[in-house]
Amino acid sequence: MIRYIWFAVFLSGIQAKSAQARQCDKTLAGKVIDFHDGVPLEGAKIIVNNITVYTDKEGKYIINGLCATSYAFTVSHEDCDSQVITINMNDVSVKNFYLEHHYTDLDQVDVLSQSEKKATNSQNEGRLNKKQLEEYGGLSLGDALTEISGVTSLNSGNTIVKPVIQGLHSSRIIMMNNGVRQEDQEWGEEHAPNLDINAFNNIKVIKGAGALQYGGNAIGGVIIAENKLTTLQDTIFGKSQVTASTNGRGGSANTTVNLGLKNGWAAKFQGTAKHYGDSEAPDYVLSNSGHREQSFSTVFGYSDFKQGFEGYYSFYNATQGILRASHIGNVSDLIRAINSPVPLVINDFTYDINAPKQETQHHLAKIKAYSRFKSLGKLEVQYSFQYNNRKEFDIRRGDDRNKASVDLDLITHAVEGSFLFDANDEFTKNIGVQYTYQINTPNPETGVRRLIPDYEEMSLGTYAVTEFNLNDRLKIDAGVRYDFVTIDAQKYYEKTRWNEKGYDTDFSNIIIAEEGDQWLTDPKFDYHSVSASAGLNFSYGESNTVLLNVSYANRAPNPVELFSDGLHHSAAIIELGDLRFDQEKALKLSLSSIHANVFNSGNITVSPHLSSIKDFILLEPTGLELLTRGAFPVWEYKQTDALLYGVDIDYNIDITKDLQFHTGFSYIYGQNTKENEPLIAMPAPNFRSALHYEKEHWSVSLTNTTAFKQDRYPNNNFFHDVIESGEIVPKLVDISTPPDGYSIFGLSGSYHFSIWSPKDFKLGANITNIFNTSYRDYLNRQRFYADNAGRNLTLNLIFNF
Amino acid sequence: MKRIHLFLVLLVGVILTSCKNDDDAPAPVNEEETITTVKLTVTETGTNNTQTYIWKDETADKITLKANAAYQASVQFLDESDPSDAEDITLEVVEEKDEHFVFYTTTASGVSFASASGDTIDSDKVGINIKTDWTIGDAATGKITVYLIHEPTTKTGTTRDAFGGETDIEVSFDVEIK
Repeated sequence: MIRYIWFAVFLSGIQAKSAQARQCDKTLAGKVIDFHDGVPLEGAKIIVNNITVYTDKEGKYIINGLCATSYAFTVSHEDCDSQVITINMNDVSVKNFYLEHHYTDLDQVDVLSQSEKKATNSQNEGRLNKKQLEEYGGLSLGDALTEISGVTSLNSGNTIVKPVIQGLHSSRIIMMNNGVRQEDQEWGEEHAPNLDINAFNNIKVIKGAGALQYGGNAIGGVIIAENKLTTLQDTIFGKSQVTASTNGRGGSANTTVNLGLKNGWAAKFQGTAKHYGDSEAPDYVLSNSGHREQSFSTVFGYSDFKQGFEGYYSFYNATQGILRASHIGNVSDLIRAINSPVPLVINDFTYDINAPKQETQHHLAKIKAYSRFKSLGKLEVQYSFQYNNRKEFDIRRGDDRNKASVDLDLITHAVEGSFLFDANDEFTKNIGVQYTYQINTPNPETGVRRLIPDYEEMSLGTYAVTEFNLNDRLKIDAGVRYDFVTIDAQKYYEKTRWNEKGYDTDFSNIIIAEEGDQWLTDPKFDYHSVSASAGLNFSYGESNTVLLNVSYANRAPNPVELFSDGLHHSAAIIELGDLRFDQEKALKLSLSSIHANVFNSGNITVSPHLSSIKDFILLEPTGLELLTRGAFPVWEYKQTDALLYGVDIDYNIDITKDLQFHTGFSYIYGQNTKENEPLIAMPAPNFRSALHYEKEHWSVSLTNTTAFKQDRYPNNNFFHDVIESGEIVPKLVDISTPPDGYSIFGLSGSYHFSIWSPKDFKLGANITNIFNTSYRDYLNRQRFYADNAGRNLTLNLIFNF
Repeated sequence: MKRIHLFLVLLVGVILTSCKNDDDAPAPVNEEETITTVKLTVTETGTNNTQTYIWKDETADKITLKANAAYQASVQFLDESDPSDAEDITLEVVEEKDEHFVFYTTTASGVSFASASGDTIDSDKVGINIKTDWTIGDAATGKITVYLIHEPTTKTGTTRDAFGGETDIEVSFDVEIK
């Protein structure tokens, strides 16, 4: 509103001036042209004083009867940002106006309306809407993403939640934090993404490796989280949200403020705090499962249709308790823990978080600039810096009691540039180059041998992707990418382990020093990766679309797969990596059949997919090692071949105008084809359904999550001798059998009301696990020790301003 | 805009030149809290017949005892990962006596263990079995297993399961009673 007032003041000033000028026989003529492809715009509107003219088919206009003075011309076209240009009629008689017709490409999407645009042409994608993001404001990104069919989560308790895309996770997924590839030790199965869901207003998931501009090694897929600036001018608006939950007896608060200044400058500030104590399962307290989180982010920038820049900084700090009962001394303890129906340690509820716990911090700063070139396209350059610190605390003795067992510093610099040739909308090309330099420094003060070593990693990637509209119905895409990755590590190996792994024969040349019973080695590895993708997007009939994509990707082994050798307390296993690993090579075929109207009874999307992964790296038990602590199973990383296939199905129907039903189903089959046994940790078939009723001011949803029992799993069980009442008894250590299936109901409701402006408040209530069902999930690493969390009532108040 | 581009170019330069960092070797880590050795010093009651039995590097000495005799045993937990600087972790266990408990169990029938006089007593007046009296029955063979339990939920019981907590040490010795 304010900007119109300014404009009116401005115009009236000019009018006063023009009245003094007598000669009013000037003419201005020219064209209105689409800046980005040079096409003349028909029907563009030009307003000066009280004169309004429109351009003709060739984009031409002519305005007569202008006086010899300065005028402000307002040029506009539907779907374009209008432009105000001041011209002195003493000097000019011909003027072409350039308007940007495709403002969505300029990242100028209004924060209030989500971008519906897909990130790729032919890949199966899912996205979270604004309402879902708000509902999960007090939880984590990994929780929210499970709303998307085919996306499940790998949990360590209920706060450490990692997304799993069609059975794959960790290093096989790329997480984009506002245009920057997040580097936060994502290889770890109990390392959750170090970012806050409230920092983003748009989250998409690409279920495949074909989005080559983000990286070449995303065998599982890409998660894109974006935080966009407002394009509105002279405005300030925002949102505050407070949540309070009964389970964990805590809550969260977050606030976002958007600022739109004149002339295209804008800024956004956002902060979140979360504070929870121990969670509770239906029958007991999940001791030491509390959670704290503070995060802050800011974006600022300038943008117009020719050029712009953006600065972004985000900070994330979290302390997460790990279930006390999951800290295991040795195999005998593990047997006791598995066989006990309740966790071995149950204390009274507390907000305190003791060891075992994780403390993580992530700083991310970036600057990005773009410039558009007339009738050519858009150049974008970006530099980003990330600093990640991860501390993991085990239960320790003596002076080391308060020392972290793992303390890793990871610094990442990335420079990237891309050029999007979009002058021809029917045939766009995007080329780019990315350079990343990373340095990992484990702190030796922990007094525990490093889980992953000191290393430097450099990677250089370059890609070209293109989209081509063959006709109105068929759009094809193709892309190719090459990455060079080099890792230079310095690692200590215990001599006994070194020999045991056979490195004394294969790698004796990398030993650089001797230190007591350890070798200092200097492993250097280079990897050349080629990825490619091709696909099509075909519409037929009135409302049907089919997406078909084939992609090939390589993934270099991550540091833990190469280097790990040590005791892992949360699993009571010794994990061994292997220096000999080659890259994983994945071929994926995906299809999506989208039918917006099936016989007038709703819309359905069926997305089958098939992946064949050669040299798939997985962890497998190989033996038992005897320490003074007792016996420990040894698990070694192995390369094998894997076959994965499955289907995601989404179905929506509007039962009445106000009542909607949705269900999503996903199934995945994973097989280790070399050993001919099922792959471990594949999500069980599951349904997520919701019945949603919405009236003007309020809405109610009944939701259900049903997971079947996973019947396909590798049998890694073993027997272990235990002395019981004077007898040696061999006991089965069942670490393989998945828990039973479950069905959990939830109910949520919200009510909009108005205090200062229409619908500025929203009050919501949400109950999860209504019937307080005791259950365990196959993809929860703490399933051996405790049930999942029980009923939780969350109240949620949102104030929009 | 020009200035931004220049800035980026400079940054790239800085990063590329700062990548040469191959010089310092990381400091070695010698794990201090590892207990490498468990030592039992066993003395036949009323005599000076003392034997030590050691568990180290996955192998244990065989314990030989006389039938129907009585012994006094004391246990030591040692960190000998640095042979020139062996550390006695038993001192730490004694210091943190409330959070520790040593438990013995055996498959040799007729052998029983009890806290001895001179044992370390915790604040609940429970001996934590650093020093124990062993009562031996008839001839038999089997295993004696020693546990060091950290933060046990209780200090009374007859099986390992009864104590809860976490196992810091679990080592077995073959035993022959003749």
